[in-house]
Amino acid sequence: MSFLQKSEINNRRKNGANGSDRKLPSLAFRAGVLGGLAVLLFAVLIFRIWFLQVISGDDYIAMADNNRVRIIREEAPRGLIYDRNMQPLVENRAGLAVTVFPAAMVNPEAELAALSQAIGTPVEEIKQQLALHQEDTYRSVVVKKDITPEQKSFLIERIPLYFPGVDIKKFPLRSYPEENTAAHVLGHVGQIDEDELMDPRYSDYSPGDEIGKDGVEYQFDRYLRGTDGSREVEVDADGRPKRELQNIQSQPGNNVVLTIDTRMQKATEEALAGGIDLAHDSGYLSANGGAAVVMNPNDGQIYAIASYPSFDPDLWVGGISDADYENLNREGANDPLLNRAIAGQYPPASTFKVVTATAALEEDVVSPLTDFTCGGVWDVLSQPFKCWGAHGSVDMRTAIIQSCDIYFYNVGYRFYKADSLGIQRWASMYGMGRETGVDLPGEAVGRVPDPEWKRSFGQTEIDQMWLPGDSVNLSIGQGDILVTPLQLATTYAAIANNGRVVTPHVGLRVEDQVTGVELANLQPEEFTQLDVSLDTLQVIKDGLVGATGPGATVGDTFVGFTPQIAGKTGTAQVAGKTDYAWYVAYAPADDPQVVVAVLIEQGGGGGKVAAPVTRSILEAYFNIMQPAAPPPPEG
Amino acid sequence: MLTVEIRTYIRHLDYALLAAVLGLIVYGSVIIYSATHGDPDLPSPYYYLRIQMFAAVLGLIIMGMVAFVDYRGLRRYRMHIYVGVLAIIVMVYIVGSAVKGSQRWIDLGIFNLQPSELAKVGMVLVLAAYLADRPRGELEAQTTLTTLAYAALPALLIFFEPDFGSALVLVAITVAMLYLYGIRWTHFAVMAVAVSGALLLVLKALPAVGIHLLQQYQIDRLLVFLNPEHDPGGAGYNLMQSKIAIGSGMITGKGLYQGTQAQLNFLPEHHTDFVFSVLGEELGFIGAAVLFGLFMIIIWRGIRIMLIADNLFGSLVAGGILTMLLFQFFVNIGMTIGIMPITGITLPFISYGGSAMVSNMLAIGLLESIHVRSKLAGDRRYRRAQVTV
Repeated sequence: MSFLQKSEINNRRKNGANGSDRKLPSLAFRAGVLGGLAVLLFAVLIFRIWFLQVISGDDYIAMADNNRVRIIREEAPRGLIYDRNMQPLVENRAGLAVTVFPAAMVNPEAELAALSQAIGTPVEEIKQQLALHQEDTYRSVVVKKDITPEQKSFLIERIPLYFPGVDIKKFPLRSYPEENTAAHVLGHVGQIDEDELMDPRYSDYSPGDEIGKDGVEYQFDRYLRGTDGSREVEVDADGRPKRELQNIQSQPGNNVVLTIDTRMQKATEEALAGGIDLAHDSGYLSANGGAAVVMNPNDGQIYAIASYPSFDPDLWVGGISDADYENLNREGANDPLLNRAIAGQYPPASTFKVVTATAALEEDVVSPLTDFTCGGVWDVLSQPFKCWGAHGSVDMRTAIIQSCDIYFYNVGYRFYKADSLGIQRWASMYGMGRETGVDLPGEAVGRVPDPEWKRSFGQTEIDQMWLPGDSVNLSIGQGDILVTPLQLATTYAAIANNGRVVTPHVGLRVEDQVTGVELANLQPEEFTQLDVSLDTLQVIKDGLVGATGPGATVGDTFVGFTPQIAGKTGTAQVAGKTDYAWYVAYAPADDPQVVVAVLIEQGGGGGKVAAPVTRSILEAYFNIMQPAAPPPPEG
Repeated sequence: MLTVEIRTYIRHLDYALLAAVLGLIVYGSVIIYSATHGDPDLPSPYYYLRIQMFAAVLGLIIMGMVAFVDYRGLRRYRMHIYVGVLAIIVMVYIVGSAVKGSQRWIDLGIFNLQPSELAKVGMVLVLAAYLADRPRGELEAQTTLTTLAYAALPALLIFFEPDFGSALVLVAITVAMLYLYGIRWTHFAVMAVAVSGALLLVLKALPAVGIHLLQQYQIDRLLVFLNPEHDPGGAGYNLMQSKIAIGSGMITGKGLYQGTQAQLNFLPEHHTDFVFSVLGEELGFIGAAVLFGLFMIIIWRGIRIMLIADNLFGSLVAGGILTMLLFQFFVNIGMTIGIMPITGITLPFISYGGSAMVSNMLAIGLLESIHVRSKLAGDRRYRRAQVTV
């Protein structure tokens, strides 16, 4: 007899005694209800799972991939920018950028607020960046470039716990080994904006891309820009990369070599700043801006192009702060971002006399020997026109040497009486009133006034008429005419090289960043040969050589300077301002290799301020770029 | 003689039930291994699997022993069991260890015991014994009230550990057993009104005067269920990730160990509360269907055992166990697919957890015991043996 049997019997006895233990008759029904309920519940679950897995499965696959796959853009380093001697002007450095992967954020509002605090970028800016990539949900979005090492270590420690969607990646950033040098030429890089995205020029760019915003960075963006790579990685819930799914290497952009000579550029910038100081020392205390161009007159290669005041291009690296940007644009900063050499428009004043002279000789208004008498005042018209001196009897050479206004008033008046627009025509042929075609963005065209322009521009009836005074004023580069320093340099280059109007340029060639192989020649081939007689030009050249002598308008600035130079002062009168000082020169006079144009805003007389600046620049040029040839061997 | 008896007992085990349970345990172990083997913080990739297997083996032994014990004998020990249930729950309050702000475990040195799991099975026995002992057909309100009182004490104690899920299971068991016993519909109606009133009191009236019976996270979970946008960072995030996991499994799944949601930790609690999400992601609709199939076998065999049990006590025990398993199965899976609130109820035989495994195996042991007894009653050889007494 086993224990089990015994218990069976005991139970049986007990049950029998109790009598209440018989199963209730309706239990089967209730068990059926329980079974039915089970079937119903199972059906509900199965139906729901079917809906999730079979009907909406594709959507959930996409969401699962969205969880785990991140595409991390690997920004291609831009091409480097070199000067003509392969000295780097713009390089790249390995920066760090903060990225956000919105889908991985658990509590976006709070995480973005904390991130904003950590990196010092307003939440709205971060959200703007994220909004740019709303449809590209796999991508992590760069929200801040160029963080400090402190910010990096702060974030790295907290990413797993507080910022699951945040990451830090390498991001190539611009660096400027020569600091402010050539800032206006180089320009800067920034994120493409909405308007630019609409521009056909940027048809193959996407939101968030870095583009050149100004200067060479803008002009040669298509060469400098590389091809971004991308890394597709699988991450876990904490955002830790687990494995790499795909890796497309970025292709660096190509290098651009400029015609700029860094040493010349620096010397020019220093000379220009020195010119401002000189103006201040000479009592022209409001002198506060200027420009200088140093160019090869024969092919238009720009060796140096300077604008004062300047700025630090490094401010834009990683995005310029609002404070810095406002500071640059504040009243009193005097537009440091403006490249005055190509975008500043000024009356050329006496430097324009070479154009009037060309027109007068070529249109036979005067002969080289025609002379006029300068008594200091010219009162042919109702209103007297003054000369800066009393030069007596002057022919054309003397008129250029002495910068005699009255000679040119007479010439201008003859053009008026002949109803001729010869001066305007020649000004245009020399390149004024239109773009020089320089390979820099933002070039201004200046203005060559003529009757038609006056008709459209004038407010009153009298203002709409071309008056004799207009021609007279134009003859000495005053009145309504405006030129840029680069236009003036191009004009003097054309005189120096016997009538060839070159296209000024800063681009030399494009080289492969990896191999250094030349990929493209950036030098423009086009130039215009003016139909101007050599005799005409010789008269003007003689005048320009004479104008550098001690008896002319520059004092002894160029006394003893070798080689011989040719040049012209200009002192532009601007309503309500102190005179603007010009000097334009080329050298050597008999075999021109360089042309220099200098402008000092409110610098006073061209001879006093602009000429010494030109001399410094030419000294630098002959020291640096054309060192005196060693004396030929004896015998 | 003894060997003959044991052979007779073994012959009368419900093998379909046993096979389904074993199938679930193996299935669950594979999923637990898949969900946990990649965890870098573990001493070994088999860490959780090993513990689960150990619990399963322990559970099988207990099941075997219980299956051979005459369950009817337990009826007399109703009060002993009840006091035991209350004692281990109270122990939690005294020596329990807290995990995630909730005190549910007793540290026994080699493993942590979760008394609420054992309490579920214990209460099935207590309530079945009490109801079976009522005079025949007694349907007085006193029976209902006493049953509720029996259940309320452990349920409230568990609720305040807090273990909302286990308390809910107890409520479900109690309601189902009252129904199976056959109390009047009016009693259910009164109960429904009382529960609604109590909920209003707890959720609205008492908080208004500064008394908070529910923890904030419990209220949050309820609110999240009603409106998943309520807290996308917390419980809503978990639910979303679970739905993504299951949905992205599609028909055939991503393959064992290949579930990106599970393997890359997007799924929370992927070896306990959300183990079904791992299964759904890696094995797809087909894998889920296999799980449902195995579970349906258990329900089917359970109802059959309820019907063939040779007394009311056995039927009620079987019905209580069935309700316990079915309720947990439905609520757990329902929670992973967003049709039930997230209550921390685990999936029987699948979710990682030793106490639950042992308790559930104990419950299966009881079902087997009921099955064996009812079969023995109709067995001729057994009857012959009885004659020889």
